[in-house]
Amino acid sequence: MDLNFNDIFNNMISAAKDNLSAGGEDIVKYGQSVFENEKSKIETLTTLLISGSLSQDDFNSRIDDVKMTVESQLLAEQAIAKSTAQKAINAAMDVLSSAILTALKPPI
Amino acid sequence: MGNIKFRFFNKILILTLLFSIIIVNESCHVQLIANYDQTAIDDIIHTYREVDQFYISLLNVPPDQRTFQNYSKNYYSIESDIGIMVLKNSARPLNTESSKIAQNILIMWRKHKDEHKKKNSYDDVLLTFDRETFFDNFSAMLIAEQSKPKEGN
Repeated sequence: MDLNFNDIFNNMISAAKDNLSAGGEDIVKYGQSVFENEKSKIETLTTLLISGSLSQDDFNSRIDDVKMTVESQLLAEQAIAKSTAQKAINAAMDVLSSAILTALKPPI
Repeated sequence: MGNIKFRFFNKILILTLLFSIIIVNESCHVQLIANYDQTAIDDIIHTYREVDQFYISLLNVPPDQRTFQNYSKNYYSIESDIGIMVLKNSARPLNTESSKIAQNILIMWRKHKDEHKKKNSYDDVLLTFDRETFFDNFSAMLIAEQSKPKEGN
């Protein structure tokens, strides 16, 4: 039985890292677009309120929508983060179990 | 003799440990979130289509024809579709994010229905704004679902 734990752990880290970097990029990209989009909505609403095109009640109602929409978008980010973490952990564990299985195989 | 016995037990212990790692890893992958579900994606797209068609139809009639009465049936039918989406998502284990987004959509839908009923009219500006709000929320739901791991990942 030949097990090189240094190699195994390096491979585990590399498998986890591949998944984490892919998921991390998605989170940053989505987060940026969320805040840009909602910022522009608040600016539009404020302009409409000041110009008198929107009543105070309608303004308040739409600001509540913006809050709720930001919450939904942050929840989506949380789902991406959980999925990324899960894929990374499982990829690392797969590397470990396949290394052990290979080492336990009887020599041909 | 004692040394041989110690080595033998040591080897047995290591092998048992390695087998345990394999068995544990094979039988239970870490699960932090619900698995990807194509039916959920289809539900999101179906319900969003209903919502968007509703807003398009409102935007395409003159403001004086946008009475609540003309659209009440659509409101109730879409509310029911969103309610089913909430129910299905809440029933899935480890699915708090999608379930909460669906609830947000339902809360906003009911609120705008009540506002329309109360005012019996709907401005172009508000229609455009609300249409975008639903687009953003359904997008969030779609992104959350699409990020979920496929079975076995």
